Amino acid sequence: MVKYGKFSESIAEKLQDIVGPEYYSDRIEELIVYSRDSSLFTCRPDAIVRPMTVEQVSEILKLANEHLIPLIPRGGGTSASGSPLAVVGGIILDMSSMNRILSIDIDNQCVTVEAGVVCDTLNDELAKFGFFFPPDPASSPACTIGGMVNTNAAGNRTIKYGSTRDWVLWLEVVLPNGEVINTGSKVLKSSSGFDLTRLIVGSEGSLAVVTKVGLRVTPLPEAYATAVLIFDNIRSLSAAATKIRRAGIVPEMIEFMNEKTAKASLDYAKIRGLPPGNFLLIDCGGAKESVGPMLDRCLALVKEHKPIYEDRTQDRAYRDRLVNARKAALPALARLRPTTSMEDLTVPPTRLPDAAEAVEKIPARLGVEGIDLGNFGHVADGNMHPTFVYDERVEEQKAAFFKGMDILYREIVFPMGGSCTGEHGIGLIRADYIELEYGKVAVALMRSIKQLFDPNLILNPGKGKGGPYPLRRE
Amino acid sequence: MTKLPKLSDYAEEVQKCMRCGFCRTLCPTFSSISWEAGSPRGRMQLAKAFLDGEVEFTDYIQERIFECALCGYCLWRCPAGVKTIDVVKAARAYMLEHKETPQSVETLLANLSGEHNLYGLSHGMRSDWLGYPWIGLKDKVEVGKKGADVLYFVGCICSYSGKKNMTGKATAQILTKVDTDWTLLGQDEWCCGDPALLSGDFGRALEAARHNVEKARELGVKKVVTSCAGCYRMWKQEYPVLLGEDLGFEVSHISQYIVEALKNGSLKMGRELKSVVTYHDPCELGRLGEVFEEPREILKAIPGVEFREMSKNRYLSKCCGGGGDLKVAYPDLSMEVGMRRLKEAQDTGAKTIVSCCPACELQLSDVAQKNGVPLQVLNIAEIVARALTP
Repeated sequence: MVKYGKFSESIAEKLQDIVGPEYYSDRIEELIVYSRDSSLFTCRPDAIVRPMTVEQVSEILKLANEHLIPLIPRGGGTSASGSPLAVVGGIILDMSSMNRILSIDIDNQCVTVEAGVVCDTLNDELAKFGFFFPPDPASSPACTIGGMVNTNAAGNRTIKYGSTRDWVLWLEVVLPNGEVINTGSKVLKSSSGFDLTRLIVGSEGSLAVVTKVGLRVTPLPEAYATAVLIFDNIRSLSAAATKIRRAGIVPEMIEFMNEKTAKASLDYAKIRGLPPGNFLLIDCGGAKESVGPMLDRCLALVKEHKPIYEDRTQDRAYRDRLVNARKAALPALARLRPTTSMEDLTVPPTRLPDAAEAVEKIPARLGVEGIDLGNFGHVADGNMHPTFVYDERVEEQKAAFFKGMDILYREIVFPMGGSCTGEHGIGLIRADYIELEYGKVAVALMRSIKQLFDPNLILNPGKGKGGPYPLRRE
Repeated sequence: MTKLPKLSDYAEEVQKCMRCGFCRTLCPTFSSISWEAGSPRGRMQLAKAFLDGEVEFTDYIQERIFECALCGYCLWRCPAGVKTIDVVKAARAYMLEHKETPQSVETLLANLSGEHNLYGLSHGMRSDWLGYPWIGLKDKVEVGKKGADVLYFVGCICSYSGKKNMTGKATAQILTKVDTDWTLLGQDEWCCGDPALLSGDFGRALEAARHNVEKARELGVKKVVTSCAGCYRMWKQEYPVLLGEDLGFEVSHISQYIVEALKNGSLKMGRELKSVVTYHDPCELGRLGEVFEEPREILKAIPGVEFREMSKNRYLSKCCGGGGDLKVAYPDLSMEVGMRRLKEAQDTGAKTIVSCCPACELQLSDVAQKNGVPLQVLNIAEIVARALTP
């Protein structure tokens, strides 16, 4: 176990010298609110700083490194996995005030943003030029680009556009010793050097602090044609999605919700008139004249899997409502019980029906009253979000949740060759599982890389990639 | 009457917060404060920590609670359906009970108690506005007329703002033009109680509800019309809850009344007003009252008006900074919030910004004046009155 330095008054004073007293806090009220993200963990930091410049970030890191104080970068604090929590105390580096869009270069199809820019804010600006940054996590109204880079966030449109990693051209990062480096290249193609950019994307703030991001952007589709289908079982739904993929059609999204989640989400989005069942959304985007025929092809292909309901639309407002209903799956489930814990497994797409059926049986296997589960996700990527709903204040239910996690990953996901996280990151909640996924040797190699970047292990300790620490379950 | 809520009643409510942070991005005050405790999510976590016994109410928490403009953006945005602004109001009620309310808010509440208006001006002056030379309504309207169809509930700002606000006159012109049998409460009108409710003084809000409803019932009116978003929301949403009963008459905002009159032909706007106009949704009429389209319908129907929407509109509309005690407790922050909204209005290229709430209008005018922004601010009733067919 690493021995960290003690956070002292002298460090507090030095931090205030760097950022100014108004951008530093160790008040109990702020410590309380920065103790949490969207996961069920509570970890209290020693202090919070809100830097405004890369120079300040550099000075803060030098100080933390010198005194062996843990330092945890945080964006919008939207993580469902405990990534931005101070598991062994230390300094929270709240990056959300570094939130300027520095340049929008439409001709070269790229933008430069500071790490604290909110995803939807960037897309609101890009929309004025008819462009967008495609990764579309459900947290887009609040999550920051820095957070998306650190978790390699993805979302509904992954089937067509990939994840954040595919859109990052270059990064400005600060190493734990305070050195500022640029990774990647500001041009659209480069084969030069090791790909440090792709290494840092998804590293959950455990290798370096991301301060600036160069992103590719692309034109918005001119039009959409969208269909909603209901299936009486998940196997037919999944087979329908596979058929579309096999035919070489690439819609904007192919999304699903199981029956329980669909009911909650459609109620939440006030969409009426659909029969109960498993919900499939096919959204085709592109040129005006091509989207209708593309959707026709999809619908012809899925017919043999006997959807019990089919509706199509090219009305933009209704399409947006359907997409938003799917994006509202988590919040809709959150209204059912006091605590919501969303998981993030990925299996090969063809194994999705097996995984989904096994997932549905977890609550019965747990046999604890008050804990239930919904399921939804990106059917074309094999990425599902089984979401446990329960009351964390009831010990029996909280224990059942952790047991449910074990069943999920140990008995369902890994035996199918899957991954414990498709787009959320390991964080604190899945730290126990990374070795199961990769084996001891691969994880040891990851930790060597971590030590190369961060010899004193000050950056975001306790998380899967920055460990090893046991999962904190209190 | 329903039981008045206490902060402890919201223990389950704050537990529902998923801490997803969706409430942060467009929160009008968080954009300035930038500390997590100053976000709606932070406020919910602080309320939870207090209810769990983890922290006492400190001055810092008092500030964070009273910085909230109660604009309702977080309430609308919250995926988990947390009644965020009810929690803030209940926290304010707790502070009031424990004498921890900011001095400026205490003064406001004292004004409401003594003189039944926001400003602490004499209650005896409440009807004076009718006789101002620039209003000229003194002998033209029968105050307290029993059996009138419509009661125009004027509100504090229109009654006491002098030349600064001509909404009362414009509303009266419209009611007269439609040939409605209308009246006023005059000296029997008390502040609607909205400022008390927003300050956590539920008792005073209840008192106002009882008084105003009783007086309206004594007149036997069929409808109450307001020209203020706050008054409208109180009469429409809060009075029935506070009193625990149906009011027995309709409540309309003047924008709804105008649309009805335009549709049935009793009001005609024939005068051309050459102007580029944008519209600011007052939080209490729009997001909280769900009246969005009527003001827009009106503006689009005025001959010569080119209507341009601000980028954040309807449910996403940004607060002007004038509400929820913000202007009273933290005037500088209120100005900052207001300037952000005016900037959006300027970006449309509009020369006039119209709203449906005298509080928003006073705030936006104030911000425009202090920052040298050349925008004319009008109430919907004022612009309609200017466009009326002679």
